[in-house]
Amino acid sequence: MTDQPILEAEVVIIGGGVTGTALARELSRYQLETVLLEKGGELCAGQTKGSLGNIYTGLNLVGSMILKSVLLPLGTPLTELYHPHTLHTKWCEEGFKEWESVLNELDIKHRYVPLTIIAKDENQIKNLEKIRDLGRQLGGMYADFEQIDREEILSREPNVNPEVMTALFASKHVIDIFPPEVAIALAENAVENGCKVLLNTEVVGISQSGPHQIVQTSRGSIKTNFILNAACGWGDKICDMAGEGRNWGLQYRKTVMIILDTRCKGLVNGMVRWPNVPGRLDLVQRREDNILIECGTYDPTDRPDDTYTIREDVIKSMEMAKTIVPTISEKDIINTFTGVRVFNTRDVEDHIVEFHPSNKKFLNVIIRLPGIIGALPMARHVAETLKKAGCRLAKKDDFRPFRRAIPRFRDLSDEMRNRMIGDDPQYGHVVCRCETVTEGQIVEAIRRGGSTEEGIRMRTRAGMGRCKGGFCGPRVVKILARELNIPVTEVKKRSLDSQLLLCKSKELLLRDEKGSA
Amino acid sequence: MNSNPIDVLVIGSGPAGMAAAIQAKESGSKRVLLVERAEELGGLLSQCIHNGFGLIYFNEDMTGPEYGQRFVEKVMDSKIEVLLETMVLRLAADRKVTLCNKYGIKTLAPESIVLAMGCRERTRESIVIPGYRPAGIFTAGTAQRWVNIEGYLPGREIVILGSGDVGMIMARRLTLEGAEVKAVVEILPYIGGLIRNEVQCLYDFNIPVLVEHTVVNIHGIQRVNGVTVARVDQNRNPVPETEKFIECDTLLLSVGLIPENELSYMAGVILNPVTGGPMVNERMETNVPGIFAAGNCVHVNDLVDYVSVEGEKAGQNAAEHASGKASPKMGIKLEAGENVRYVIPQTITGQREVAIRLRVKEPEKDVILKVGEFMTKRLKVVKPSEMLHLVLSERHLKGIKKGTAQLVVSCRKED
Repeated sequence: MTDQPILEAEVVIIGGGVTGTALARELSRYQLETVLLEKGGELCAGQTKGSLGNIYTGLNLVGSMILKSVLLPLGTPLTELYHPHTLHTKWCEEGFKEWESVLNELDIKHRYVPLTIIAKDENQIKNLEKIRDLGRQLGGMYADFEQIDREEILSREPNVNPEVMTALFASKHVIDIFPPEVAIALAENAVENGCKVLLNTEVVGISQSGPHQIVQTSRGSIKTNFILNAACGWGDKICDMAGEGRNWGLQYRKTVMIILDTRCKGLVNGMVRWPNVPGRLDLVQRREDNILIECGTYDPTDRPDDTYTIREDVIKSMEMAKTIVPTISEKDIINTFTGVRVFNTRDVEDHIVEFHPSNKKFLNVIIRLPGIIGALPMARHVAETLKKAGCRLAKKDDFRPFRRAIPRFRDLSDEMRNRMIGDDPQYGHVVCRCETVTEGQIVEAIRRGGSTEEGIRMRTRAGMGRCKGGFCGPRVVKILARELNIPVTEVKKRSLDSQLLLCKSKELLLRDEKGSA
Repeated sequence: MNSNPIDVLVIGSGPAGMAAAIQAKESGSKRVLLVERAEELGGLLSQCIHNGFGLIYFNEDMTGPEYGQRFVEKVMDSKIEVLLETMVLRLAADRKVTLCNKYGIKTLAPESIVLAMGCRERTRESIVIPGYRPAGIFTAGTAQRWVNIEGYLPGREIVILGSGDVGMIMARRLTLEGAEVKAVVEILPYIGGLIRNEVQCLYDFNIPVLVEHTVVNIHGIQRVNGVTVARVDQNRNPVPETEKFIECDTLLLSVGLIPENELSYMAGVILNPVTGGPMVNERMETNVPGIFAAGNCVHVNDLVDYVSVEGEKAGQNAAEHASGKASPKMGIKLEAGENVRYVIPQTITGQREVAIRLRVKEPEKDVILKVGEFMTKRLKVVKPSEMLHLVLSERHLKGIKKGTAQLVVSCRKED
């Protein structure tokens, strides 16, 4: 490639999930040019979007450790699953505390939800006791829970299976968040502090040019000093572009998740789960005003974008969910989706944060789940690593840590709403009935970089409710076309090849008349 | 707006809402307010540009917009107050209604309310069709809006899942637009919508119909590039090795309509699990005093003409309630019996003539429709897609024994 670079930067971040956006925000504290590249039409188009989300600690982290034995032999002793020295464990422990303040800095909607790990038979009680003992053994926040009896379980979570016998209960171990909002908030704050974010920009090659590297993208090339590979599931392919290939052994595991109508929001107050067993996750959770179900196994797949939902998985998942909350009904399903988790087989337990073996300015940041909790310490660690590698990191004096969310009209008091409508009548035009999203919010989301139907959905919740955009869909598309000043046929669902409307009416007939089909 | 209290507030300006508002006004209500979330009156009628409307109500064959226009003009002429682009945010059991539009938020306390929110379409998500989530999957009604109101085509090569009326009408519409409808796929052994649509929309246009089939796979990650269909067995489960790939860029869904009742739910209105709509008495009144309901938010009607009639009934009774007239006691329940899916209304007084509507569960020939022990009617053919109508006249009602608490409505095959 001989074309002139369209941009020059000190650091290029590849991938706009939570890892990439956390890196972007961290680096935006320093005086250097940072560019984040995302191949999708919106941020968090991959693993982050399909993740269960939640920022958690303590007991749930213990659960997650057991979960990670998904790739280990059955019967691995639980105590062996805790690795205090892995980056993964360290960052999770550090990250939780840090998020408590950063969620507020970034105005990310969040809420502590109680965690109840329930058991109803001997076998489950045995598993429950393992979690309990491991928690106590680890101490600190891990031990910050109580064991409660049936009566108390049912008073806290009245709709759970009445056969429960005992449970572990922790009130402050899980923070409910909406994962895309986290990535978008991090990115918006990074942009506010000078970072550039390019969507629909796929990296197709990486080459050297003197002391610099050239990142070739679908939109032109970018000259840079350092490259951070935060492409998660595609990380191996990106890494191979930077030098000779190596055997990454990335593994992809998929799980299906189910969302129930807001009408069911009272079914559980927090997260209710059976005790973890290796390779399985069985939980019902309040996610904002919906119910989220993830009950199932982590099934291997060979592609990081294999978000294909299998009907049988949904059916099995619902059956399992009903063992947790018997009144759950298929009638209330408003969405099902599949997320892909990425593990590396070199070290299943841990992240990979290291330079390319033959390119000391190319840093791989391949994060295993849970990616969100440890993202902030991870980003600091990467900044330190860059510094050691010769990247000039001088702190900005004017870094602005705060970000304001798009007003959540649905959550405001009538008084606040009236004030907003007074300032901008577009906030009085409710476009999405199910989620009560106004035109004002949609226009603001577009102003902040939302440019696709799915982007608007993730940024505002328009179309996320029970009718799935039956009413607001055409209206959102028309607002996008109007605000972006593009034809309606150019509005995409998410990426460039996901056109929504194929042509104007009569166009096919006119073409036929001309004899050119 | 003037400061007198609202007598009747109608939510939704589709055929049910407009008829209710007009009738409330004609029944003497001083202030009638019609609230609509969309940009214009008429609800879905504006996008139903095909004919077949008004055959019963006006004894004329009209298009949806023509049918709607008759009511729109009456609304305009009868000093009904109208709020467009106005969303009802909340409805409480004491009939406090919170409205939102570009002028702000307002809470009103009308004497009566008519719920006329219509229905929404069942989605791909709610019926759990497996596959990716590409662009190119539309509900039939949303596709209809795109084509008829906005002037865009969702696709060129189309498969339609479900043979509801909107789906069949869109099969014809898209064919006329030059698109190729490759198949209408129906999981049941028979077409879901009206016979006239089956003939005029599918057969007349040679559109391939696959009954006892369903879509088992949607192909394409970013945009649909095909679907796999398969035959289903008696339990509606796909039969292995009957899969067939159909190349297409668009999948339309016409897989059912759900009465829209989020507001009813908020107000504590009891919903019938079968219809998905409020339980109503013969005055179209719900369990919450002063809250009435009509049209597709009560039950999904087959013809708009009946929706208008229901709207009028609700409007008239809402006006009576607003003027302080006490409700008569509804003593008798109408229960759905053999091969009857539901009956509207669910309760009657048993004192005066009442029209009832019902749907059967399964298609059947030569049946006897029975109400309690006192009324029978022989019918040649019954189909779930076509509503049945009965009038219980005062003469019939005299046959009801004193103290009867419920009447079973059944539709049994003649021996």
